[in-house]
Amino acid sequence: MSRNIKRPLKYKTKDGKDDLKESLENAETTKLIPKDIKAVEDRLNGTFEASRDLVLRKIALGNGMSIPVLIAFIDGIIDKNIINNDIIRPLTQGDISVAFDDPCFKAYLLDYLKKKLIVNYQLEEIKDFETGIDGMLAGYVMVYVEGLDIALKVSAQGGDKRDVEEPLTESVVRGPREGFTESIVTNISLIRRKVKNPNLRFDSMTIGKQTKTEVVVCYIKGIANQEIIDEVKNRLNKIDANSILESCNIEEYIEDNRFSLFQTIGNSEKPDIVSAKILEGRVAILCGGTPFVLTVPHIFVEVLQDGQDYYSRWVYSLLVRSVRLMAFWITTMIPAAYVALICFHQDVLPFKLLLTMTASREGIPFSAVTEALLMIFTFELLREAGVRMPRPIGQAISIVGALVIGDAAVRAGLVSIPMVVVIAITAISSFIVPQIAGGLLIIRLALLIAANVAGVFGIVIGSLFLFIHMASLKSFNVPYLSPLTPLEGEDLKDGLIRYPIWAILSKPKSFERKT
Amino acid sequence: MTEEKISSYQLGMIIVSFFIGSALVMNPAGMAKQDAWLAYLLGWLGGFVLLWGITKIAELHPNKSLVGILIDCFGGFFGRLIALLYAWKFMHLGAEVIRTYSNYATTVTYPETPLLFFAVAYTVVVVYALKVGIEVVGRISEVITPFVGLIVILTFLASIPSMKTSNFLPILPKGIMPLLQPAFVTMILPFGEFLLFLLVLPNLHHQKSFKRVSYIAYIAAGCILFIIVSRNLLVLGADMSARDIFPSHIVFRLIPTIDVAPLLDINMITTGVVKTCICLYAAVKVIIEVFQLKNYRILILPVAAFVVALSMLVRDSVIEQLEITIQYWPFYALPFQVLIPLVILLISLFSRKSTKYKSA
Repeated sequence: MSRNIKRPLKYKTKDGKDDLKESLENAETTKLIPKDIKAVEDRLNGTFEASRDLVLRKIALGNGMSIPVLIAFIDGIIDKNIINNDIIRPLTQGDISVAFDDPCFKAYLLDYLKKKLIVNYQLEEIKDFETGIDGMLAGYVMVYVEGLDIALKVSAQGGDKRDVEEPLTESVVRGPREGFTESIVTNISLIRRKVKNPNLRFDSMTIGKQTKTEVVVCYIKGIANQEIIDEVKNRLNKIDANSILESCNIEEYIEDNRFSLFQTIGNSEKPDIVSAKILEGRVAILCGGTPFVLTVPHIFVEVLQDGQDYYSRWVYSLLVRSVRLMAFWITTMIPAAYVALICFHQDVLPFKLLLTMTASREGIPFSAVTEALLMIFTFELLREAGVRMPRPIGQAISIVGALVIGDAAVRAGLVSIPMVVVIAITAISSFIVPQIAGGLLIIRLALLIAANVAGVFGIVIGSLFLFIHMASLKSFNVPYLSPLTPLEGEDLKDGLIRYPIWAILSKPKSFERKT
Repeated sequence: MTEEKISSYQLGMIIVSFFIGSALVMNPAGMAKQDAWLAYLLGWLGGFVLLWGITKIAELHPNKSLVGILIDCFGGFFGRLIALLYAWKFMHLGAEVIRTYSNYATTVTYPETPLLFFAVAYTVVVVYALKVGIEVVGRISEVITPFVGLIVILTFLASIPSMKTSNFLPILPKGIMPLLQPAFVTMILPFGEFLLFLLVLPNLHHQKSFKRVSYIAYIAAGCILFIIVSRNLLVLGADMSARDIFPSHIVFRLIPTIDVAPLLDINMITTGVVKTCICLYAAVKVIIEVFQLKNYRILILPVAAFVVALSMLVRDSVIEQLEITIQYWPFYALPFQVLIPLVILLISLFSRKSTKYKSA
């Protein structure tokens, strides 16, 4: 990706920075829009250097065609119908009876254009030339009129975009199937349709010097904690980035702890999940150009939560969170625990199990930890290959993985069968908590090495480190491990277990808490 | 720097893990043979007196830590001097705790690993926890301590088959006098150390709840320790539990059909980390308050390094540690844990009365 575009855009250099004296003289005048249409055209051409997608359409008002009008826009990001029907048609075929040519009418020209001619719900007067260019780049149409130093900015965003589809990452058995798209307007409408509350706010801002990405902060006033809203806006305003291409870029800038293995900002592709989080008092950050919407504060139990929990019978949901928590522990601990048992604490194992394990390890040339590292590495290779491969070939990976590496490695005497089982369980469990799977890999390896050095002592020391780290994390001043610690009894109903939905408070208390 | 606050529940859990901390592995009441449980109970009840005294001191000096109280009572110079002695005492206590755990690890599970490895590995966790703040110590103990209690109860239930009630007999064959020394040691050794919490007290969110939380936590910790003491006695018998250095470990090994010895490791490391954290925190707090520094975090690493070195020096062997802990430690700790608090209490009671008299 062209993340680091060092070359500044042309219209910035055209400002004449090489000649300081001239630029000082022209500073005021270059900012404004020239009254002369020809000059406007020249400057636009100079700015974009006749870029393929710049469209300059010249028409004229009045019977004698005495008032030239320049319509400028960037092709491809506008809706052609809007420009043809709402702007060009009324301007060219508009009220013929009006005496445009009359010099007395000049004073009313702008007003007349705004109020009677241009058919569009969104219209703005622009005095600054650069603002006009920014508008064009964002999909607006600029209308320049001869003799006026004010241009009109007309909304005509359009062009190709994806329909609302079911997201691939969060497919559901039961529940709404729609997902966010790359268009921020669509995304806002998807949330608005779910939460019909006038207090639902969408505060817009632009981030990224080159990409000028639109970012919208969404929350419900009165439900969301004002401190968190202010903090979010504050951090977003501080971002000094060249490009924001995905919400992940924003995430990295506004995270509480930038070096943590755990993400303290959540993301989702589904409007129902984001709406639920907003209703709980969280703040959503929508970023133009990506279907992934960020939600803050993001706490650990959210990793264990899933939209599905709320759309299935509570009896099942009651326990499924605990299963996920268990998966979290299994995927971090099991390889380490296995190595610790094999190397240090053989006496803990039941005698028969010890016999089988020793028998299966007979003839294996590697130590337990080497074996484990080998298998974890192989599994990561397979997973990475599975993700990178085009889907039709992806099937081959699973065959290679399951048969060749699993079965054949055991028969070839490279790894023992218990280790294959251990790694398989680890792998399956890691799929249950996909959001933090990347961080868990590192934790798994660290614990594995700790276990190899000092057995259970190493594991305990390692997991204490992990635990202290997690307890020290904060997401927008909300402790990452709340409501577990600091303990918040009411919130636990929707924490590691899910109570029936009528028994859960709609808004967690942890977001208000200080200690 | 924002001030760190811990909730009353967290403080309670810290207190419980603090008391369970070292007593989980060592047990001074064992000297009383088959009457260890009685000696323990006596010591525990005796500890109530100390607890009462300390909560009373805290009540008389609201919003002050130990250093402030000492300065109030003994004046600027002597108050600070005594405070520094306390800093030494807390560091020494931390070193003892670290040594106990390192000894346990090298004696029981890892005979070939050097002591220093465990001491350092263990202290690194403590340093990390304190670096991120006392808040986090509160949070980890809040989650871990209930599990420790649960494991103690579960192991008690699991070792019921191997218990013999005859291990309690004969009760008091030589009268109550032989119980007094072990009871005294118990009173001083885990329970008298409560004084340390006068330094954690300023971090408590609801200052008023200190007294209530202390009593509840004291009772809870007392019950858990009583379960441990009587379980060890019931399973091992008077002779074995008095002779063993780490009786809890043997009991865990004796649980039928399943070996849960690593659970004891887990328990004691987690509670021990909390205990050491509090010791170091108290020592560091005293130092920064005496010298009026701002940030306690910069002192953690040097103090921890000193404590690790100290833990290597304090004793020569496990046996020696046990002997000294039981024979001499109580008399060493007596002035810090009983005499000075007593003087503080008397002075502050007296001065309060006199101010009352004056104002009246």
